[in-house]
Amino acid sequence: MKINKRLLVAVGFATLAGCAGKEAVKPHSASATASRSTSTQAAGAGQGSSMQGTGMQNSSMSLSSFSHLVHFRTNSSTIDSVNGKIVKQNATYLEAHSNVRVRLEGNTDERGTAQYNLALGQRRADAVKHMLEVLGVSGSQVATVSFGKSRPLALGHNAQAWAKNRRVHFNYTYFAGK
Amino acid sequence: MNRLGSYVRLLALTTVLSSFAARAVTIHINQGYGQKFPIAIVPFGGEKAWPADVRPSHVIRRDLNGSGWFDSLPSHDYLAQPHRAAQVQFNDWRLLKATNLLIGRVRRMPGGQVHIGFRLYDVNKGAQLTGLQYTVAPTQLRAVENKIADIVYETVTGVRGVFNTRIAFVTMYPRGAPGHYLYQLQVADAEGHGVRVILRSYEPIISPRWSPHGRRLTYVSFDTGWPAVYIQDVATGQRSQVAAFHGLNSAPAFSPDGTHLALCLSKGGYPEIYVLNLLTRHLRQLTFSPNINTEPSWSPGGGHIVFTSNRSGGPQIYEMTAQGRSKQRLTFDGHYNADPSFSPNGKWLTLVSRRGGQYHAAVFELADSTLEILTDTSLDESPTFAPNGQEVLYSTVVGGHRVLASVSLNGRGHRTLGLRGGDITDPAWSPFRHP
Repeated sequence: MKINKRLLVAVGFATLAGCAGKEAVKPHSASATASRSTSTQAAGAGQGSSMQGTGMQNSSMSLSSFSHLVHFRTNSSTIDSVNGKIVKQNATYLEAHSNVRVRLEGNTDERGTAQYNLALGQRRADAVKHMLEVLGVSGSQVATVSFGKSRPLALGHNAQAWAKNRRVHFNYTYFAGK
Repeated sequence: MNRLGSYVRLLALTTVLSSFAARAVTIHINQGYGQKFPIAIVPFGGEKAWPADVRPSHVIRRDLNGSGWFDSLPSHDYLAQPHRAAQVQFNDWRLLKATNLLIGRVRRMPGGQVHIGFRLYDVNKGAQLTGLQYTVAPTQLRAVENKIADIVYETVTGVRGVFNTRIAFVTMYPRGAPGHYLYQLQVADAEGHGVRVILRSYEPIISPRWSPHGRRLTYVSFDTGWPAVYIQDVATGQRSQVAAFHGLNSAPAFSPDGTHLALCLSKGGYPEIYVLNLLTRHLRQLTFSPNINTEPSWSPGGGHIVFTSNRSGGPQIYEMTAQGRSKQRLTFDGHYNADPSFSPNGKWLTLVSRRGGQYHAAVFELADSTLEILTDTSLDESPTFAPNGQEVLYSTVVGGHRVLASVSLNGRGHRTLGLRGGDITDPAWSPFRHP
């Protein structure tokens, strides 16, 4: 991965990262092979050069090397810094693989009403899409959908389950067979 | 059939609706607040030939007790088991302090039909109040029993009964990998019996709502992988897709005359409320704020729409005309008020209100802007009024599972309808079938 790419990502991220929430959920840790992509460090912003480094073949970056889940605080569609890093990793992958399409699936926890949560899930998916676009990903690679509270990953009715369920899933397999 | 049946039970929930109780008088009918009518329901002559869950005295007792307005006296205390008018000795029932007495008979006719008749008495006056008989197909037996419960309810309380109305709801069963479920849109009678599956899908089904006469349902299904709004005829199963725009297609609600559908679409970038003319397919946008606007519900007269918006921060209830004019905020009590729907008389909204991190079914009185919490459960959703306005049905978590529960607005009846092996969400109570 070229350094100028990292810088651009860092700049984009800085504009989007909202308040880092106290309730921030630890992202699902990516597999042990994630060191390459998670090593992305925000170097000093301000030197954001243009995207000359388009030769991002980067075959070493595989889909399994970073998390596909972004988490949110209660009733929020703001992407905090921890989860922003995950969006960046996905952005890097998507830019390097411009033929890949991803479906961003917004979800909420079970608290509150079905339709309001459906709208909230949509706002979450849209927020992630917006950040991807700011990071340089083509909008045509990204579709959004919300399932609201109707597809919980964790079944419990407690804070841990809710934290896991407030998520946007980067679904890379949805379009793969279509 | 009747999978729900044996799980319907009265829960002795210690829900103390003290704050609501003080006002319940204003909602309620001419009888004194909190009063329950002690009624003796004699096992019908011949009913032992039927399975317990369709025996007339069982069905009628459960219906009436569940309403919160009756206290049916235990039959082992009865001094006699009359089935005919001539066998009734009113003093037997005065001793038990019964105000009303119900007797009847049921028997199979040659040719397979079922004959069922009943008499309802005022014990103190020693007089018959009403009595009717029916001859029906065996499959109609439960409907007739619910009808008898309706007649008893209305004769005694003066309010139309809802035992022959229906509820729609969605069940979710975990299936396969985490985050994957089998969803079923189902319809049952108001007590949770006679369950019928309307739609099965491995993609979410959300928020069924009834058409004005209860013949059709509108709902959101992700059948195609993407959200779309459908209208389906309950009897025939025939369905049509009415909205499948880019983004959200959600929260459909029939106008009271059935010609329009209010719904929430995000095709313009934000979740906004639109009204779709079902005849012309013309679509009109009613809200224009870059926030969440959803959960529209029509006033009974069709002139107004209430909805949820977070334009002021958290979700609150707003009202506007059906043309989208004169928007005003209605709720100021608490930081989360959502999913409003009107009572049949238009004087109330039921909604979900958060208090101290707990999500409760609540009732909002439009005339004086007061909000009253109805439950002591913490994860309530989708409250819906009974068509006679006497009860609110909602989904909540009891014992780790989502169930349907209802609370009668006199504060005395609280029921839970249960179903094993799944979670039940998104209840919607039908209107009366024959207005």
